[in-house]
Amino acid sequence: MSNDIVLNNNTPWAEIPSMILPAYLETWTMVGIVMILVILIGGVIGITLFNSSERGLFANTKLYGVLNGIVNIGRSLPFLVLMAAIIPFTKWVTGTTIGISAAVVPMTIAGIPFFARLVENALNELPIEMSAVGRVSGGTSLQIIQHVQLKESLPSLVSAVTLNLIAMIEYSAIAGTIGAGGIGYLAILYGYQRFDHHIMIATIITLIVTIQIVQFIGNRLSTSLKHA
Amino acid sequence: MYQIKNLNKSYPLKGGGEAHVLKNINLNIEKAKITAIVGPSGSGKSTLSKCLSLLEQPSSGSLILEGVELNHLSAEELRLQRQKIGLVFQSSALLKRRTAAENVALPLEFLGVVEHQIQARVAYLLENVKLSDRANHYPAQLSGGQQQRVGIARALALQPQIVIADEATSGLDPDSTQSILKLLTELRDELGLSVILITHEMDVVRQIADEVAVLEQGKIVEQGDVLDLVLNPNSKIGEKILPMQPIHQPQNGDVALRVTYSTAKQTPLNWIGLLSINLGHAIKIQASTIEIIQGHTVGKVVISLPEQLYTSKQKTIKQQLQAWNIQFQILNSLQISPQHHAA
Repeated sequence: MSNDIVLNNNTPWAEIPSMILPAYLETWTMVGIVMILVILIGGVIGITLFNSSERGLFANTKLYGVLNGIVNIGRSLPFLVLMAAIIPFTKWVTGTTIGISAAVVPMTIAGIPFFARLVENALNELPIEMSAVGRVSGGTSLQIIQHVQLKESLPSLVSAVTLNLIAMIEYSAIAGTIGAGGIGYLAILYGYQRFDHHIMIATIITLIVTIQIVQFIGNRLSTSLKHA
Repeated sequence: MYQIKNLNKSYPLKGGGEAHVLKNINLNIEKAKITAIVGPSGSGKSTLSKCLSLLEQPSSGSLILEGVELNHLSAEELRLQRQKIGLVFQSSALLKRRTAAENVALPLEFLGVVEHQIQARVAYLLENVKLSDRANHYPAQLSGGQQQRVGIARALALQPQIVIADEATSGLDPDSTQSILKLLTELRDELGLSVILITHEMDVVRQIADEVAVLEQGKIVEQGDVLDLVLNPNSKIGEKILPMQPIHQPQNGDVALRVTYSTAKQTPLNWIGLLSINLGHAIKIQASTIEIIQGHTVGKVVISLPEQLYTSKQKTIKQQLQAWNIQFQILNSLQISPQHHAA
Protein backbone atom coordinates (compact mmCIF):
# COMPACT_ATOMS: atom_id res chain seq x y z
CA MET A 1 0.00 0.00 0.00
CA SER A 2 2.73 2.44 0.93
CA ASN A 3 4.38 1.77 -2.44
CA ASP A 4 1.27 3.02 -4.24
CA ILE A 5 1.42 6.30 -2.39
CA VAL A 6 5.04 6.80 -3.38
CA LEU A 7 4.43 5.85 -6.99
CA ASN A 8 1.61 8.32 -7.28
CA ASN A 9 3.98 11.20 -6.58
CA ASN A 10 4.24 12.06 -10.28
CA THR A 11 3.91 15.73 -11.06
CA PRO A 12 1.13 16.27 -13.60
CA TRP A 13 2.57 16.69 -17.12
CA ALA A 14 1.02 20.14 -17.45
CA GLU A 15 3.16 21.42 -14.57
CA ILE A 16 6.40 19.93 -15.86
CA PRO A 17 7.50 22.86 -18.10
CA SER A 18 7.12 25.38 -15.30
CA MET A 19 9.43 23.24 -13.14
CA ILE A 20 11.94 22.26 -15.82
CA LEU A 21 12.41 25.68 -17.39
CA PRO A 22 13.78 27.62 -14.36
CA ALA A 23 16.05 24.66 -13.54
CA TYR A 24 17.21 24.53 -17.15
CA LEU A 25 18.12 28.21 -17.05
CA GLU A 26 20.05 27.62 -13.82
CA THR A 27 21.98 24.83 -15.51
CA TRP A 28 22.96 27.13 -18.35
CA THR A 29 23.91 29.89 -15.93
CA MET A 30 26.26 27.53 -14.12
CA VAL A 31 27.68 26.06 -17.29
CA GLY A 32 28.02 29.51 -18.88
CA ILE A 33 30.04 30.95 -15.98
CA VAL A 34 32.17 27.81 -15.79
CA MET A 35 32.86 27.75 -19.54
CA ILE A 36 34.05 31.36 -19.58
CA LEU A 37 36.51 30.65 -16.77
CA VAL A 38 37.56 27.30 -18.22
CA ILE A 39 38.19 28.64 -21.72
CA LEU A 40 40.23 31.56 -20.39
CA ILE A 41 42.32 29.74 -17.79
CA GLY A 42 42.38 26.30 -19.41
CA GLY A 43 43.15 27.92 -22.75
CA VAL A 44 46.18 29.75 -21.37
CA ILE A 45 47.43 26.57 -19.68
CA GLY A 46 46.86 24.53 -22.87
CA ILE A 47 48.74 27.06 -25.00
CA THR A 48 51.59 27.13 -22.48
CA LEU A 49 51.67 23.34 -22.38
CA PHE A 50 52.01 23.10 -26.15
CA ASN A 51 54.57 25.86 -26.47
CA SER A 52 56.74 24.57 -23.65
CA SER A 53 56.80 21.15 -25.30
CA GLU A 54 59.49 20.16 -27.82
CA ARG A 55 57.36 21.41 -30.70
CA GLY A 56 56.54 24.74 -29.11
CA LEU A 57 57.85 28.29 -29.37
CA PHE A 58 59.59 28.27 -26.01
CA ALA A 59 60.45 24.63 -25.39
CA ASN A 60 61.11 24.18 -21.69
CA THR A 61 61.22 20.66 -20.33
CA LYS A 62 60.82 21.72 -16.69
CA LEU A 63 57.84 24.00 -17.29
CA TYR A 64 56.20 21.33 -19.42
CA GLY A 65 56.82 18.69 -16.77
CA VAL A 66 55.26 20.79 -14.00
CA LEU A 67 52.19 21.82 -16.04
CA ASN A 68 51.74 18.31 -17.37
CA GLY A 69 51.82 16.94 -13.83
CA ILE A 70 49.27 19.47 -12.57
CA VAL A 71 46.92 18.78 -15.46
CA ASN A 72 47.19 15.05 -14.86
CA ILE A 73 46.42 15.44 -11.16
CA GLY A 74 43.41 17.62 -12.00
CA ARG A 75 42.12 14.97 -14.34
CA SER A 76 42.78 12.04 -12.01
CA LEU A 77 39.89 12.59 -9.61
CA PRO A 78 36.33 11.66 -10.52
CA PHE A 79 34.21 14.79 -10.39
CA LEU A 80 32.16 13.62 -7.40
CA VAL A 81 35.33 12.99 -5.37
CA LEU A 82 36.86 16.31 -6.42
CA MET A 83 33.70 18.16 -5.49
CA ALA A 84 33.66 16.67 -2.02
CA ALA A 85 37.41 17.03 -1.51
CA ILE A 86 37.56 20.75 -2.20
CA ILE A 87 34.54 21.77 -0.11
CA PRO A 88 36.73 23.83 2.30
CA PHE A 89 38.24 25.68 -0.67
CA THR A 90 34.78 26.24 -2.19
CA LYS A 91 33.55 27.64 1.09
CA TRP A 92 36.58 29.92 1.33
CA VAL A 93 35.96 31.26 -2.20
CA THR A 94 32.17 31.56 -2.23
CA GLY A 95 31.25 31.55 1.47
CA THR A 96 28.88 28.64 0.95
CA THR A 97 29.01 24.92 0.20
CA ILE A 98 25.66 24.61 -1.57
CA GLY A 99 23.90 26.23 -4.48
CA ILE A 100 24.98 27.46 -7.89
CA SER A 101 28.00 29.44 -6.73
CA ALA A 102 29.28 26.45 -4.80
CA ALA A 103 28.93 24.23 -7.87
CA VAL A 104 30.80 26.65 -10.11
CA VAL A 105 34.07 26.25 -8.14
CA PRO A 106 34.53 22.46 -8.47
CA MET A 107 33.19 22.51 -12.03
CA THR A 108 35.75 25.13 -13.03
CA ILE A 109 38.56 23.27 -11.29
CA ALA A 110 37.59 20.05 -13.04
CA GLY A 111 37.05 21.75 -16.39
CA ILE A 112 40.35 23.66 -16.59
CA PRO A 113 42.76 20.69 -16.88
CA PHE A 114 40.34 18.93 -19.22
CA PHE A 115 40.17 21.91 -21.55
CA ALA A 116 43.91 22.57 -21.26
CA ARG A 117 44.60 19.04 -22.54
CA LEU A 118 42.09 19.47 -25.37
CA VAL A 119 43.77 22.72 -26.43
CA GLU A 120 47.21 21.10 -26.30
CA ASN A 121 45.92 18.25 -28.48
CA ALA A 122 44.34 20.67 -30.96
CA LEU A 123 47.65 22.55 -31.32
CA ASN A 124 49.54 19.28 -31.65
CA GLU A 125 47.44 18.46 -34.69
CA LEU A 126 48.89 21.43 -36.58
CA PRO A 127 51.59 20.60 -39.12
CA ILE A 128 54.97 20.54 -37.43
CA GLU A 129 56.32 23.46 -39.53
CA MET A 130 53.70 25.94 -38.29
CA SER A 131 55.81 27.44 -35.51
CA ALA A 132 58.75 27.76 -37.92
CA VAL A 133 56.46 29.47 -40.45
CA GLY A 134 55.51 32.02 -37.82
CA ARG A 135 59.12 32.61 -36.85
CA VAL A 136 60.54 32.97 -40.34
CA SER A 137 57.64 35.31 -41.10
CA GLY A 138 59.04 37.55 -38.37
CA GLY A 139 56.27 37.02 -35.82
CA THR A 140 56.63 37.56 -32.08
CA SER A 141 55.59 34.62 -29.92
CA LEU A 142 52.29 36.33 -29.12
CA GLN A 143 51.59 37.03 -32.81
CA ILE A 144 52.40 33.44 -33.74
CA ILE A 145 50.15 32.06 -31.01
CA GLN A 146 47.29 34.32 -32.04
CA HIS A 147 47.55 34.36 -35.84
CA VAL A 148 49.07 31.00 -36.60
CA GLN A 149 48.43 28.53 -33.78
CA LEU A 150 44.98 29.56 -32.58
CA LYS A 151 43.51 30.65 -35.91
CA GLU A 152 44.77 27.60 -37.76
CA SER A 153 43.48 25.21 -35.12
CA LEU A 154 40.13 27.00 -34.71
CA PRO A 155 38.07 24.08 -36.09
CA SER A 156 39.71 21.73 -33.57
CA LEU A 157 39.31 24.31 -30.80
CA VAL A 158 35.59 24.58 -31.53
CA SER A 159 35.36 20.80 -31.23
CA ALA A 160 37.28 21.04 -27.95
CA VAL A 161 34.84 23.66 -26.60
CA THR A 162 31.91 21.46 -27.67
CA LEU A 163 33.35 18.44 -25.91
CA ASN A 164 34.11 20.49 -22.81
CA LEU A 165 30.65 22.08 -22.81
CA ILE A 166 28.98 18.69 -22.86
CA ALA A 167 31.21 17.50 -20.02
CA MET A 168 30.28 20.59 -18.01
CA ILE A 169 26.53 20.01 -18.55
CA GLU A 170 27.12 16.50 -17.25
CA TYR A 171 29.09 17.81 -14.23
CA SER A 172 26.33 20.32 -13.47
CA ALA A 173 23.94 17.40 -13.10
CA ILE A 174 26.37 15.67 -10.73
CA ALA A 175 26.67 18.92 -8.83
CA GLY A 176 22.92 18.60 -8.25
CA THR A 177 23.80 16.20 -5.45
CA ILE A 178 25.17 19.07 -3.40
CA GLY A 179 22.08 21.11 -4.06
CA ALA A 180 23.62 23.06 -6.91
CA GLY A 181 20.30 23.83 -8.52
CA GLY A 182 19.68 23.27 -12.18
CA ILE A 183 18.25 20.32 -13.96
CA GLY A 184 20.41 17.78 -12.13
CA TYR A 185 19.16 18.98 -8.79
CA LEU A 186 15.60 18.63 -10.06
CA ALA A 187 16.27 15.09 -11.19
CA ILE A 188 17.81 14.13 -7.82
CA LEU A 189 15.25 15.90 -5.65
CA TYR A 190 12.08 14.84 -7.45
CA GLY A 191 12.98 12.03 -9.77
CA TYR A 192 15.24 10.09 -7.42
CA GLN A 193 14.22 11.00 -3.90
CA ARG A 194 10.46 11.25 -4.53
CA PHE A 195 10.12 8.70 -7.32
CA ASP A 196 8.56 11.35 -9.57
CA HIS A 197 8.85 9.56 -12.90
CA HIS A 198 7.50 12.44 -14.91
CA ILE A 199 10.27 14.74 -13.74
CA MET A 200 12.83 11.99 -14.31
CA ILE A 201 11.64 11.39 -17.87
CA ALA A 202 11.41 15.13 -18.61
CA THR A 203 14.95 15.83 -17.36
CA ILE A 204 16.36 12.90 -19.32
CA ILE A 205 14.68 14.07 -22.52
CA THR A 206 15.80 17.65 -21.91
CA LEU A 207 19.40 16.55 -21.42
CA ILE A 208 19.43 14.28 -24.46
CA VAL A 209 17.96 16.99 -26.69
CA THR A 210 20.39 19.57 -25.28
CA ILE A 211 23.45 17.42 -25.89
CA GLN A 212 22.27 16.57 -29.42
CA ILE A 213 21.81 20.25 -30.25
CA VAL A 214 25.15 21.29 -28.71
CA GLN A 215 27.00 18.57 -30.60
CA PHE A 216 25.19 19.39 -33.84
CA ILE A 217 25.99 23.10 -33.62
CA GLY A 218 29.58 22.34 -32.59
CA ASN A 219 30.12 20.00 -35.54
CA ARG A 220 28.54 22.40 -38.00
CA LEU A 221 30.61 25.32 -36.77
CA SER A 222 33.84 23.32 -36.77
CA THR A 223 33.26 22.09 -40.32
CA SER A 224 32.34 25.54 -41.62
CA LEU A 225 35.64 26.90 -40.25
CA LYS A 226 37.71 24.40 -42.19
CA HIS A 227 38.90 25.26 -45.66
CA ALA A 228 40.21 21.84 -46.54
CA MET B 1 77.36 38.04 -48.58
CA TYR B 2 76.43 35.23 -46.16
CA GLN B 3 79.41 33.58 -44.55
CA ILE B 4 79.28 30.48 -42.48
CA LYS B 5 82.44 29.89 -40.51
CA ASN B 6 83.35 26.77 -38.53
CA LEU B 7 79.74 26.03 -37.81
CA ASN B 8 79.11 23.15 -35.42
CA LYS B 9 75.83 21.82 -34.14
CA SER B 10 75.38 19.14 -31.52
CA TYR B 11 72.30 17.85 -29.81
CA PRO B 12 72.34 16.24 -26.40
CA LEU B 13 71.36 12.61 -26.57
CA LYS B 14 68.84 11.17 -24.17
CA GLY B 15 71.17 8.47 -22.90
CA GLY B 16 73.92 11.05 -22.27
CA GLY B 17 76.60 12.29 -24.64
CA GLU B 18 75.78 14.24 -27.74
CA ALA B 19 75.14 13.86 -31.45
CA HIS B 20 77.54 15.97 -33.47
CA VAL B 21 75.29 16.71 -36.46
CA LEU B 22 77.25 19.46 -38.20
CA LYS B 23 81.04 19.50 -38.15
CA ASN B 24 83.05 22.58 -39.01
CA ILE B 25 80.90 23.82 -41.85
CA ASN B 26 82.46 26.59 -43.92
CA LEU B 27 80.39 28.12 -46.69
CA ASN B 28 80.32 31.38 -48.53
CA ILE B 29 76.98 32.16 -50.08
CA GLU B 30 77.49 34.66 -52.86
CA LYS B 31 75.15 37.38 -53.94
CA ALA B 32 72.84 36.63 -56.87
CA LYS B 33 73.92 33.01 -57.05
CA ILE B 34 72.11 29.76 -56.50
CA THR B 35 74.02 27.57 -54.07
CA ALA B 36 72.87 23.99 -53.78
CA ILE B 37 73.51 21.99 -50.64
CA VAL B 38 73.19 18.30 -51.39
CA GLY B 39 73.60 15.17 -49.39
CA PRO B 40 71.92 11.91 -48.51
CA SER B 41 69.23 11.86 -45.84
CA GLY B 42 70.77 11.93 -42.39
CA SER B 43 73.73 13.97 -43.65
CA GLY B 44 72.64 17.03 -41.62
CA LYS B 45 71.00 18.96 -44.45
CA SER B 46 67.86 19.87 -42.56
CA THR B 47 69.82 20.88 -39.47
CA LEU B 48 72.03 23.07 -41.64
CA SER B 49 68.92 24.58 -43.22
CA LYS B 50 67.54 25.38 -39.75
CA CYS B 51 70.83 26.97 -38.69
CA LEU B 52 71.05 29.03 -41.89
CA SER B 53 67.47 30.26 -41.51
CA LEU B 54 68.18 31.10 -37.85
CA LEU B 55 65.60 28.69 -36.54
CA GLU B 56 68.30 26.85 -34.61
CA GLN B 57 71.27 28.33 -32.79
CA PRO B 58 74.58 26.75 -33.79
CA SER B 59 76.60 25.19 -30.99
CA SER B 60 79.67 27.08 -32.19
CA GLY B 61 80.99 29.00 -35.16
CA SER B 62 79.65 32.11 -36.77
CA LEU B 63 77.08 33.23 -39.28
CA ILE B 64 77.78 36.60 -40.87
CA LEU B 65 75.12 38.14 -43.07
CA GLU B 66 76.29 41.23 -44.93
CA GLY B 67 78.81 41.99 -42.24
CA VAL B 68 76.36 41.44 -39.37
CA GLU B 69 77.32 38.70 -36.98
CA LEU B 70 74.19 36.70 -36.26
CA ASN B 71 75.30 34.64 -33.27
CA HIS B 72 74.67 35.70 -29.74
CA LEU B 73 71.82 38.00 -30.74
CA SER B 74 68.91 38.49 -28.39
CA ALA B 75 65.63 36.84 -29.34
CA GLU B 76 64.27 40.19 -30.51
CA GLU B 77 67.34 41.05 -32.63
CA LEU B 78 67.24 37.57 -34.08
CA ARG B 79 63.59 38.08 -35.05
CA LEU B 80 64.54 41.24 -36.95
CA GLN B 81 67.59 39.67 -38.66
CA ARG B 82 65.43 36.75 -39.73
CA GLN B 83 63.51 39.09 -42.01
CA LYS B 84 66.57 39.18 -44.27
CA ILE B 85 66.15 35.48 -44.91
CA GLY B 86 63.12 33.97 -46.60
CA LEU B 87 62.42 30.29 -46.11
CA VAL B 88 60.50 28.09 -48.52
CA PHE B 89 59.35 24.85 -46.91
CA GLN B 90 59.24 21.41 -48.47
CA SER B 91 55.52 21.03 -47.89
CA SER B 92 54.89 24.74 -48.69
CA ALA B 93 53.47 24.92 -45.13
CA LEU B 94 50.68 27.33 -45.98
CA LEU B 95 48.08 28.27 -43.40
CA LYS B 96 45.04 26.29 -44.47
CA ARG B 97 42.52 28.78 -43.16
CA ARG B 98 44.01 31.69 -45.05
CA THR B 99 43.66 32.42 -48.75
CA ALA B 100 46.72 32.63 -50.98
CA ALA B 101 46.75 36.41 -50.59
CA GLU B 102 46.31 36.20 -46.80
CA ASN B 103 49.16 33.70 -46.57
CA VAL B 104 51.48 36.05 -48.44
CA ALA B 105 50.29 38.90 -46.22
CA LEU B 106 51.21 37.11 -42.97
CA PRO B 107 54.78 38.43 -42.60
CA LEU B 108 53.60 41.94 -43.49
CA GLU B 109 50.85 41.77 -40.87
CA PHE B 110 53.41 40.64 -38.31
CA LEU B 111 55.57 43.60 -39.21
CA GLY B 112 52.60 45.98 -38.74
CA VAL B 113 52.46 47.26 -42.33
CA VAL B 114 49.29 49.27 -43.00
CA GLU B 115 46.46 47.51 -44.80
CA HIS B 116 46.55 49.26 -48.18
CA GLN B 117 50.31 48.78 -48.45
CA ILE B 118 49.89 45.12 -47.61
CA GLN B 119 47.35 44.77 -50.41
CA ALA B 120 49.63 46.45 -52.95
CA ARG B 121 52.65 44.37 -51.97
CA VAL B 122 50.68 41.10 -51.93
CA ALA B 123 49.25 41.86 -55.39
CA TYR B 124 52.78 42.50 -56.68
CA LEU B 125 54.16 39.31 -55.12
CA LEU B 126 51.34 37.14 -56.43
CA GLU B 127 51.88 38.61 -59.87
CA ASN B 128 55.57 37.72 -59.60
CA VAL B 129 54.70 34.09 -58.96
CA LYS B 130 51.95 34.23 -61.62
CA LEU B 131 49.09 33.55 -59.27
CA SER B 132 47.16 36.83 -59.39
CA ASP B 133 44.05 34.94 -60.46
CA ARG B 134 44.26 32.63 -57.45
CA ALA B 135 44.56 35.30 -54.76
CA ASN B 136 41.33 34.38 -53.03
CA HIS B 137 41.72 30.63 -53.24
CA TYR B 138 42.41 28.58 -50.14
CA PRO B 139 45.43 26.22 -50.21
CA ALA B 140 43.14 23.20 -50.54
CA GLN B 141 41.92 24.66 -53.84
CA LEU B 142 45.46 25.02 -55.25
CA SER B 143 47.72 22.42 -56.86
CA GLY B 144 50.98 21.43 -55.19
CA GLY B 145 52.99 23.64 -57.53
CA GLN B 146 50.68 26.60 -56.97
CA GLN B 147 50.90 26.13 -53.21
CA GLN B 148 54.67 26.14 -53.45
CA ARG B 149 54.57 29.37 -55.49
CA VAL B 150 52.46 30.95 -52.75
CA GLY B 151 55.11 29.71 -50.29
CA ILE B 152 57.78 31.47 -52.35
CA ALA B 153 55.74 34.68 -52.51
CA ARG B 154 55.38 34.56 -48.73
CA ALA B 155 59.14 34.04 -48.34
CA LEU B 156 59.68 37.16 -50.47
CA ALA B 157 57.18 39.34 -48.61
CA LEU B 158 59.74 41.06 -46.38
CA GLN B 159 62.21 41.65 -49.23
CA PRO B 160 64.85 39.23 -48.00
CA GLN B 161 68.37 39.10 -49.40
CA ILE B 162 68.51 35.34 -49.22
CA VAL B 163 65.91 32.73 -49.97
CA ILE B 164 66.45 29.25 -48.59
CA ALA B 165 64.47 26.59 -50.42
CA ASP B 166 64.42 23.44 -48.31
CA GLU B 167 63.55 20.55 -50.64
CA ALA B 168 61.14 22.95 -52.31
CA THR B 169 60.56 20.73 -55.33
CA SER B 170 60.46 17.33 -53.63
CA GLY B 171 57.13 15.71 -54.25
CA LEU B 172 56.11 18.03 -57.09
CA ASP B 173 55.27 16.78 -60.55
CA PRO B 174 57.81 17.55 -63.33
CA ASP B 175 55.89 20.54 -64.74
CA SER B 176 55.48 22.14 -61.32
CA THR B 177 59.13 21.46 -60.56
CA GLN B 178 60.12 23.27 -63.75
CA SER B 179 57.94 26.27 -62.93
CA ILE B 180 59.44 26.50 -59.43
CA LEU B 181 63.01 26.22 -60.79
CA LYS B 182 62.28 28.92 -63.34
CA LEU B 183 60.91 31.12 -60.59
CA LEU B 184 64.05 30.60 -58.48
CA THR B 185 66.32 31.56 -61.36
CA GLU B 186 64.21 34.69 -61.90
CA LEU B 187 64.74 35.61 -58.26
CA ARG B 188 68.47 35.37 -58.84
CA ASP B 189 68.56 37.11 -62.21
CA GLU B 190 65.90 39.79 -61.77
CA LEU B 191 65.91 40.52 -58.04
CA GLY B 192 69.58 39.69 -57.44
CA LEU B 193 68.72 37.36 -54.58
CA SER B 194 70.96 34.66 -53.23
CA VAL B 195 69.22 31.33 -53.25
CA ILE B 196 70.24 28.40 -51.09
CA LEU B 197 68.82 25.19 -52.43
CA ILE B 198 68.72 22.29 -50.01
CA THR B 199 68.04 19.27 -52.17
CA HIS B 200 68.79 15.66 -52.93
CA GLU B 201 67.73 15.99 -56.58
CA MET B 202 70.76 16.12 -58.89
CA ASP B 203 68.57 17.20 -61.81
CA VAL B 204 67.72 20.34 -59.88
CA VAL B 205 71.38 21.04 -59.15
CA ARG B 206 72.35 20.52 -62.79
CA GLN B 207 69.56 22.73 -64.07
CA ILE B 208 69.87 25.81 -61.91
CA ALA B 209 72.68 25.72 -59.36
CA ASP B 210 75.77 27.91 -59.71
CA GLU B 211 77.57 26.51 -56.71
CA VAL B 212 77.23 23.21 -54.94
CA ALA B 213 78.32 21.93 -51.55
CA VAL B 214 78.12 18.26 -50.65
CA LEU B 215 77.26 17.33 -47.11
CA GLU B 216 78.14 13.88 -45.84
CA GLN B 217 77.85 12.83 -42.22
CA GLY B 218 77.78 16.43 -41.11
CA LYS B 219 80.84 17.51 -43.07
CA ILE B 220 81.22 19.33 -46.35
CA VAL B 221 83.21 16.92 -48.49
CA GLU B 222 83.17 18.81 -51.79
CA GLN B 223 82.19 22.29 -52.84
CA GLY B 224 82.65 24.58 -55.76
CA ASP B 225 81.29 25.86 -59.04
CA VAL B 226 78.92 23.33 -60.61
CA LEU B 227 80.46 23.56 -64.08
CA ASP B 228 84.01 23.22 -62.74
CA LEU B 229 83.04 20.14 -60.76
CA VAL B 230 81.26 18.54 -63.70
CA LEU B 231 84.33 19.08 -65.86
CA ASN B 232 86.62 17.71 -63.18
CA PRO B 233 86.95 13.96 -63.75
CA ASN B 234 87.97 13.44 -60.12
CA SER B 235 84.88 15.05 -58.67
CA LYS B 236 82.37 12.60 -57.24
CA ILE B 237 79.61 15.16 -57.19
CA GLY B 238 80.47 16.20 -60.76
CA GLU B 239 79.85 12.62 -61.79
CA LYS B 240 76.52 12.57 -59.95
CA ILE B 241 75.36 15.87 -61.44
CA LEU B 242 76.17 14.70 -64.96
CA PRO B 243 76.27 10.92 -64.81
CA MET B 244 77.75 8.93 -67.67
CA GLN B 245 75.47 6.46 -69.34
CA PRO B 246 76.49 2.76 -69.20
CA ILE B 247 79.34 2.09 -71.60
CA HIS B 248 79.33 -0.67 -74.20
CA GLN B 249 82.55 -2.60 -74.42
CA PRO B 250 84.58 -1.20 -77.31
CA GLN B 251 85.26 -3.56 -80.18
CA ASN B 252 88.34 -5.76 -79.84
CA GLY B 253 91.41 -3.91 -80.94
CA ASP B 254 89.81 -0.52 -80.31
CA VAL B 255 90.95 2.09 -77.83
CA ALA B 256 88.27 3.91 -75.87
CA LEU B 257 88.73 7.49 -74.75
CA ARG B 258 86.53 9.16 -72.21
CA VAL B 259 86.16 12.80 -73.09
CA THR B 260 84.73 15.74 -71.15
CA TYR B 261 84.12 19.08 -72.82
CA SER B 262 82.11 22.25 -72.57
CA THR B 263 81.32 25.19 -74.81
CA ALA B 264 82.29 27.26 -71.77
CA LYS B 265 85.85 26.36 -72.75
CA GLN B 266 85.28 27.15 -76.43
CA THR B 267 85.14 23.55 -77.51
CA PRO B 268 83.50 23.45 -80.95
CA LEU B 269 80.32 21.37 -80.88
CA ASN B 270 81.38 19.53 -84.03
CA TRP B 271 84.70 18.38 -82.58
CA ILE B 272 84.02 14.69 -83.23
CA GLY B 273 83.44 15.42 -86.90
CA LEU B 274 86.50 17.61 -87.09
CA LEU B 275 88.65 14.98 -85.40
CA SER B 276 87.32 12.27 -87.72
CA ILE B 277 88.18 14.34 -90.77
CA ASN B 278 91.57 15.11 -89.33
CA LEU B 279 92.35 11.42 -88.74
CA GLY B 280 90.74 10.26 -91.96
CA HIS B 281 88.72 7.77 -89.92
CA ALA B 282 85.13 7.88 -88.67
CA ILE B 283 85.29 7.85 -84.87
CA LYS B 284 82.69 5.78 -83.01
CA ILE B 285 80.62 7.13 -80.13
CA GLN B 286 80.26 4.43 -77.46
CA ALA B 287 78.26 6.50 -75.00
CA SER B 288 77.39 10.11 -74.38
CA THR B 289 75.68 12.47 -72.01
CA ILE B 290 75.13 16.02 -73.13
CA GLU B 291 73.34 18.64 -71.04
CA ILE B 292 73.12 22.38 -70.67
CA ILE B 293 74.74 23.57 -67.45
CA GLN B 294 74.83 27.25 -66.56
CA GLY B 295 73.87 28.00 -70.17
CA HIS B 296 76.78 26.01 -71.63
CA THR B 297 76.70 22.71 -73.44
CA VAL B 298 78.56 20.16 -71.38
CA GLY B 299 79.28 16.70 -72.69
CA LYS B 300 80.76 13.48 -71.46
CA VAL B 301 81.43 11.16 -74.36
CA VAL B 302 83.23 7.86 -74.76
CA ILE B 303 84.71 7.53 -78.25
CA SER B 304 86.61 4.62 -79.72
CA LEU B 305 89.05 4.17 -82.59
CA PRO B 306 91.38 1.40 -83.75
CA GLU B 307 94.36 0.98 -81.47
CA GLN B 308 96.75 1.09 -84.43
CA LEU B 309 95.40 4.42 -85.54
CA TYR B 310 95.53 5.76 -82.01
CA THR B 311 99.12 4.68 -81.50
CA SER B 312 100.32 6.19 -84.75
CA LYS B 313 98.38 9.48 -84.38
CA GLN B 314 98.59 9.77 -80.59
CA LYS B 315 100.42 13.06 -80.70
CA THR B 316 98.03 14.66 -83.19
CA ILE B 317 95.02 13.51 -81.20
CA LYS B 318 96.39 14.88 -77.95
CA GLN B 319 97.32 18.19 -79.50
CA GLN B 320 94.00 18.53 -81.23
CA LEU B 321 91.96 17.71 -78.11
CA GLN B 322 94.06 20.01 -75.98
CA ALA B 323 93.62 22.81 -78.49
CA TRP B 324 89.84 22.45 -78.07
CA ASN B 325 90.20 22.31 -74.29
CA ILE B 326 88.88 18.78 -74.20
CA GLN B 327 89.91 16.58 -71.30
CA PHE B 328 90.36 12.91 -71.97
CA GLN B 329 91.34 9.66 -70.36
CA ILE B 330 92.08 6.32 -71.94
CA LEU B 331 89.74 3.65 -70.70
CA ASN B 332 91.02 0.19 -70.01
CA SER B 333 89.20 -1.93 -72.54
CA LEU B 334 88.36 -4.63 -70.01
CA GLN B 335 87.54 -2.68 -66.89
CA ILE B 336 86.44 0.65 -68.31
CA SER B 337 88.04 2.08 -65.20
CA PRO B 338 89.56 5.44 -66.00
CA GLN B 339 93.34 5.56 -66.24
CA HIS B 340 94.37 9.08 -65.87
CA HIS B 341 96.32 10.25 -68.88
CA ALA B 342 96.05 13.88 -69.59
CA ALA B 343 94.00 16.91 -68.85
